[in-house]
Amino acid sequence: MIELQNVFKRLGGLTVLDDFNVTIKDKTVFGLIGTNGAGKSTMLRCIAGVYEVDSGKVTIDGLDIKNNDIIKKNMFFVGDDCYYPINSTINSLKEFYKTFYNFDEVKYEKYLKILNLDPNKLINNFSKGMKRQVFLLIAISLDIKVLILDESFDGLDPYVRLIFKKEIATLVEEKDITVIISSHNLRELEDICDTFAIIENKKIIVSGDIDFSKNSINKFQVVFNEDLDINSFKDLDIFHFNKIGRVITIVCKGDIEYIKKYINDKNPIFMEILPINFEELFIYEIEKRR
Amino acid sequence: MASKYFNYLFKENNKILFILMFIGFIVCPVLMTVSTTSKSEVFYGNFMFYNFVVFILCYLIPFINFYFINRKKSVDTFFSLPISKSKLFIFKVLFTLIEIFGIYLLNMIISFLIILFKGSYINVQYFILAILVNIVLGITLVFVNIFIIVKCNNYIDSLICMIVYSILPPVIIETINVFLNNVTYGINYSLINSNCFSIPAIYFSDFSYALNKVLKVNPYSFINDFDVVTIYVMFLIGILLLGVSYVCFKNRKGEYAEQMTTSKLMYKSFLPIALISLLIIFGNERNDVNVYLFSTVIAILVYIIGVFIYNRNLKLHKYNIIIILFSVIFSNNLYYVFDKNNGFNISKIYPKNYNSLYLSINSYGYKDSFEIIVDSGLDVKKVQKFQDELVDWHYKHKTNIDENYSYGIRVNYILKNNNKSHFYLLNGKKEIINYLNEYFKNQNIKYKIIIYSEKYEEKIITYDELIEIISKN
Repeated sequence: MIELQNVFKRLGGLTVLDDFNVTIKDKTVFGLIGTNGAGKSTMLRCIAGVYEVDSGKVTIDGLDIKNNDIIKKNMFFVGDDCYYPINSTINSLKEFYKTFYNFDEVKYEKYLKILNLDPNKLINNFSKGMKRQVFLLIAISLDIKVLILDESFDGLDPYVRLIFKKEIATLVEEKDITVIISSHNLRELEDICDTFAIIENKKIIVSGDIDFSKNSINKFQVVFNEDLDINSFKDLDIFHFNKIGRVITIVCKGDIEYIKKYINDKNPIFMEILPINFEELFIYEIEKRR
Repeated sequence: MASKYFNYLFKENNKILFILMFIGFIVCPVLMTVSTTSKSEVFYGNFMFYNFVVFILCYLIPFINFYFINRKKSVDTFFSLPISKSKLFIFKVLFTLIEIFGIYLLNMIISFLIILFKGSYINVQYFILAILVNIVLGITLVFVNIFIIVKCNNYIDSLICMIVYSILPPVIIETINVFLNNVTYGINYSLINSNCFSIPAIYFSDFSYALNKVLKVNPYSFINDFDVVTIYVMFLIGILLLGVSYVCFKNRKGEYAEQMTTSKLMYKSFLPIALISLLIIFGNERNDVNVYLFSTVIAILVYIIGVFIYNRNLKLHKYNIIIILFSVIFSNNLYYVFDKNNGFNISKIYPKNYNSLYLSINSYGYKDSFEIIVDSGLDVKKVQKFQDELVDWHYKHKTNIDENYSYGIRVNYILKNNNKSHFYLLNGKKEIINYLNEYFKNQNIKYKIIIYSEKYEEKIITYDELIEIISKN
């Protein structure tokens, strides 16, 4: 279990994480989302040990991550812009990481073929997407317990994304690894993540199970004879209210049966309940707080 | 796992190791082998050139090996790896030293064997000493550069600070020397040896001295001996800086990479120091207001450009303006205080540890100018009293204008340890006759006079003949 407790972190004079608390359970794919500059990358770097927190604690299975090589041996961090030594090839990069981690050669060779990458070509000559593939290939070939991916899926083509998503799901299932992914592509995260957290204003504002959270927010499209406005629904926990003519779209949180009854009591001509996706969940949560 | 990483460093950098070995091999052993001569002067050239190459490597290799801490990408990788910062630091330092000095040692041994094979003279004892001293000073330079890189937050600052710190210490000492020479009277030598504060200077000069002994050559050498004390002190400083680097590296935060360098020991120190040094050096022109003002503006401009480079923008902060004002006021007041107090009688401080004393009196601008030289039999106390009188006269009348003087008096102390010379250049009017009467009459001294006229004449004269010559002029 990964825990950040009362974490405070400043970067360049700005507070990035303020009394930050989050718990990430084992054997889960955890999606981290937030607006630009919210603190996602900072949080991931604090977990990976790249940054030391100014106060608070970052622990994995109860052990402090600070200066702890043993924990780091079971953890791998893939940043949004990865480093490789000059004139590296995939094979030489593999040798670099083999120095520090246990390595699954069989899986490495298997995915090298699937991805159709030349292990002896200079990584410098690869496209941005291919470079991402290289580091994801290394990541899935390592014998680790925690995998941290900072916007690592961005720039990958759909086929390659599918390959890696499947492998990550397999690793979670078979090897009990924990994966933390940050991305701006929420549809992508929705496919692969089971839990999530939204960072806004230096803190976690929402976290939990994706499906549960989506189901707890409901989108109603209703038409009334009368001209109603948002004040007519003041008893509801409204995230979003939109009116075009007499068609009103309400997004609110709460028990669906209660909300249905509440709206029905106002005699709508038409009412439809629409599903929301992860992206909408994120947008509505941010909107509500601004 | 940690030793695996060390082995990896060798595997990963085998091409660089090969190139370094190849370059050293070409410069020394190969060129020595193909040279048709067995002249030691040629070998001297090979060794000195290779020495220069190694000197450059003492900057380049630490920069390459520690460059990773100044880039965000590489910091993300290295600081998240399961290797402690202390081990990472130690392995990088060890590898740097092996890259530079392991290969250097190998090439030097091969060169030694080639010289032996060619039948040329080579002094084994001094050869070993030369390599040892070179490695010690080179290691010191590497440690200093590693310290600078660790204290900087980006690679541009690392490069700039490495260069600045190579030249700044001797510049500071030379500034002090220039200042003391300006505010004292008569002193005409560097009161402090600036070479002692320059690792590059010691690195080349001591190796050159050793090579002279190794190969029995003496091309353009003015070096007299190893500066053993300086070598020890420099090496200790290097070790100390390595220790500090280790601690700083361990505590270094990942977020420092690609940020402004905030260490007080880098820009924040050397920019004000450079400004004050320039103002003190230019203070020599304080008698000519226009020149002095122009020089001051130049010094301030240099500082401002340094600030712009440091900040990476064209802004000056209040702090910078305060530094400028303080530096101008300080340097002016420094000169004022020394001028007011007659240089605190520094001009009357004479060396104690000298071998011999040498006095000469030159006449200025006469038809038959002459030089009177005394190099034996002088009573040093009387000479020094003579000097005191000339100094006091100068400060009383506060003028250096030559037309007021008839004679230039040079007193030269040849020091015991290194045969270096500390000499004093003073001026005297015709009235020096009175001093000569007081201090040098009845001494059993032989005066040699050299007359510069249509014909060059040199002869030994007595005291009475000396007085007669001076009286006539």
